[in-house]
Amino acid sequence: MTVAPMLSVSGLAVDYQLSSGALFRKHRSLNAVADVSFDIAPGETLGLVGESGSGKTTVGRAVLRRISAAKGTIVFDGEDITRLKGERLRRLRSRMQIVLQDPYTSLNPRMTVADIIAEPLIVHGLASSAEETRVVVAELLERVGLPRDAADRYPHSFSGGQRQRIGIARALALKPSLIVADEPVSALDVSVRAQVVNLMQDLQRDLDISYLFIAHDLAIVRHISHRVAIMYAGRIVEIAPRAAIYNRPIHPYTEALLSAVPIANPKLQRVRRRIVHPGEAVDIANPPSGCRFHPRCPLATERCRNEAPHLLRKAAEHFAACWNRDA
Amino acid sequence: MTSPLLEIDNLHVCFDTRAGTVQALRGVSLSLAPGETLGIVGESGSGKSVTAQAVMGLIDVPGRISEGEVRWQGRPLAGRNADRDARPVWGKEITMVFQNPMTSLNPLMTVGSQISEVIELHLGLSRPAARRRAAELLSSVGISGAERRLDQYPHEFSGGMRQRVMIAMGIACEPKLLIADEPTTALDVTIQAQILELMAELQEKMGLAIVLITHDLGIVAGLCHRVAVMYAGQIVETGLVDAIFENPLHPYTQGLIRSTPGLDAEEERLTAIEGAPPGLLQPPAGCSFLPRCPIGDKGCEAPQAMRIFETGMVACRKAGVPAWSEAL
Amino acid sequence: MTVPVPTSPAPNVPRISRVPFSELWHDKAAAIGLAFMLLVIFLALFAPLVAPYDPAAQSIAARLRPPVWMARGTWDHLLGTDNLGRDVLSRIIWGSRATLTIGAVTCLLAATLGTVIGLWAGFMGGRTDSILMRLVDIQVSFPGILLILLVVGVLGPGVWTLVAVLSVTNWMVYARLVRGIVSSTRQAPYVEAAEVIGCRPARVIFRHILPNLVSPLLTLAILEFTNIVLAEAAVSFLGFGVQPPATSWGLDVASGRDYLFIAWWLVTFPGLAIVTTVLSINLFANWLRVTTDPEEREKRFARAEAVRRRRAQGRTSA
Repeated sequence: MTVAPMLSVSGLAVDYQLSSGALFRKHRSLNAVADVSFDIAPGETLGLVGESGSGKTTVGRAVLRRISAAKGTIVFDGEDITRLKGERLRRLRSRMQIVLQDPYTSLNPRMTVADIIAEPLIVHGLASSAEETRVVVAELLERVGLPRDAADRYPHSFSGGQRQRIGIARALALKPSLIVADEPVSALDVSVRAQVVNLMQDLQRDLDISYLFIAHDLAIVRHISHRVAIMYAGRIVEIAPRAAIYNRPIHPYTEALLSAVPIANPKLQRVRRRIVHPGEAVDIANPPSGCRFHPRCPLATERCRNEAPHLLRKAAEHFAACWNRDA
Repeated sequence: MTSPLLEIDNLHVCFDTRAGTVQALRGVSLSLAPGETLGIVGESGSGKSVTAQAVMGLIDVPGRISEGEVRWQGRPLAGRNADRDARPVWGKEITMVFQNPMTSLNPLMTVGSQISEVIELHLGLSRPAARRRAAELLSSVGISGAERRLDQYPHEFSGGMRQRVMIAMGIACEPKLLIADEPTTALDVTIQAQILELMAELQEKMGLAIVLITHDLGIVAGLCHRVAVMYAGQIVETGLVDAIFENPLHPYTQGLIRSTPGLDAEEERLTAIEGAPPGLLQPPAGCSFLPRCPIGDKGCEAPQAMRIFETGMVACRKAGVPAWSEAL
Repeated sequence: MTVPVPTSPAPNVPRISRVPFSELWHDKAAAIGLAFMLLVIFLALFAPLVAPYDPAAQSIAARLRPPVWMARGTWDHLLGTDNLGRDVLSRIIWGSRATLTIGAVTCLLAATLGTVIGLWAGFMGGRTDSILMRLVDIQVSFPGILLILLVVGVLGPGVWTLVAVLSVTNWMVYARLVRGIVSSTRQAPYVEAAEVIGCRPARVIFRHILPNLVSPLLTLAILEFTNIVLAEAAVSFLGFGVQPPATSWGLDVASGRDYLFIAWWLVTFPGLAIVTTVLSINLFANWLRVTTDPEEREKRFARAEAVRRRRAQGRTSA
């Protein structure tokens, strides 16, 4: 690749302290995410897909430095930010932003829309006067397709989709180069979902923003992403350009996941071969040895039980963590 | 033609709130034949869950049925002239599975005693017999080691397993109708597939009628015979699944299907339905979809009559006109 | 393309300010409670103008007069006089000053202390939280009245000793409340968003967390006020609180107890003042708690609406 990546994560591991709440007891730590590596180019969207407990949200929070990494490095725009602290971390925050899942709880109900959108400008000292702030807020509102008079109203008078637009406007205020979008449309209704996805695509095209798009909905991820990473039980099991993931999945888990997505086409749905693996998602507090998918995997061998596979290059830009299958 | 199992006739449900009266359902009519699977699709606030609650007799203060009724095999079950003697139908002949299995199971009782309780109550079996039946039910919904798991508590089950337990309780009395309100929304995709498969299997085996309430068109496509599309407290279109997905007549249905991304098409841009559904405090008299409809005009401001087609019904005077062009 | 404004109307401002009054009027108990509270506050503020006599003025000629409606009662002393011929009504009116002042100042101090500690514990979390909350547990488990007596015994009785010692024994409940709300609000997505934006901790606390505390704290403080009134009465009754010739309701009850059998009014009227004030505050605070909680408020409305509908139905069918 000739372009330097906007974000480069390598060997990331995050541990959670299982706090007992007691004063003097030893904390047990839980290996939530391990061995996660990926790059995101400027203006690129990486879709990060996984089921609940797969660690996808943890990865997003680690990238934003909301939780600290136990291992690995996070390089943002050429700078190693893994151990950044204090004021420099706060400054960094202006360049990477978040869009949260729930449009109802992600906006402070006691602040007007103008206050919400202007807050990032104020805390970073980017607004020299009230007048200038007003102009910027108006521009941002227009940018995300909200009426100008929205500024003086409170979040409760907006619908879910409109609130998500407000959240996006707040994220855009600092002109970030990377936005971590954590399930930004999964709380929205189907007809409104498309509005927000389209808006995010327009913004990317116009402002050259990189997205880390975290979701469990494979159809939406396919639509918005350039590349897709699939997570299972705290590991990335497969990462590839979108066409490769959806047309030629390698990892048995990816395959099962894709076949489980319900498709809005009755005829197709009836003839589809559904690969339903028995069993439930892994309990990450007590993960299985070796490959974490092996108890549910039809291809599992002795090696899978003993030795955890790393991401292996299977095709040009196609990596999968599986011993048994090749492109 | 067999007589319908369930009929919903011009049902109106209101909720009294401080801000005014919310008209959650405005004249919903539906009928369901024995053994049929009906999908009710709609967005939040469209009234799909309220419809299910009305059928189950769960509308309580601040809500009330202001007009219309629900009939079960011809007997009025809910509404102004509800037949009090028909009440035992609930929980026995009609059962319900909810979205969140954790809140519908009692965390302090073992799974076995919760299932047995239902059986003892409705079928009058003795305790040991009820327990045997509970074990059978657990294995029939695909839970292995049923005997052992009967003595476990809900928190020892995963989300998918809990939903299986809920389904086991739902089918315990061999009901004629199972209402499933977003049964898989809280579950992961792969677990969702397992649960849907289980429901299809049970329906085939037991001849069960299912009302499946969901916002996910993909689930409807896989499981249902017939679909009713709801918008702002009304049914805008009903019909057979194949017909609706192949040739949706109502502009809203068309938009809904087109804004759902698939796994195959390489479309660059999703069709978005701009705007948001109307508030139900003062719903419009005419078509509620008009403000968002690309082909609506003056004539749509009057109340819309249901137009009946061979395969279903649609509440749109321009039914069948393609509303969303490629060029948009 | 323009985005349509949502059709559900945003509640307009004048309505919001008008509604609580009509709602208060519907809850008669709370309305009476508020009216009585206002009356007591008014009497305390304007005691010199309202009270018919100087509360300390003795009159040997008019000793132990019963209230006006009794055989020997006179219109000069509506609620009778005590063993020194002091007017009971005037003493109650003046006594409300001490009672209310001690209550208000103590509530303010205890709430401030509790809020600061609760905020600190809730915001820092982890070990700081554990240590501070164990401190609260320890103090809660220590009998309050014993601590009061100990401190008063060492420092000597007096109004300000009382205020200080009551504050120190009553802050824990605020700390627990605040800590609970803060640690749950910290998890709120909008607080996370504020931190990702780059807000400094002070801004996060004051702008995003503190506003959530205002209404629960207010309700708690009003309820706690009644505890303080009772504690003040108890301590004054024991002789460690307000010292004569100053007056307070508790002190009056204490000094009247020797005459309980020959002059019941000396104990009864100040006692009634304590009881009705505490009751009024409780009634009003309960209403306030429901009103500031949107969910509870909606439920209350629905219940009233259902009752109204049932009545209307009964009327039509009858």
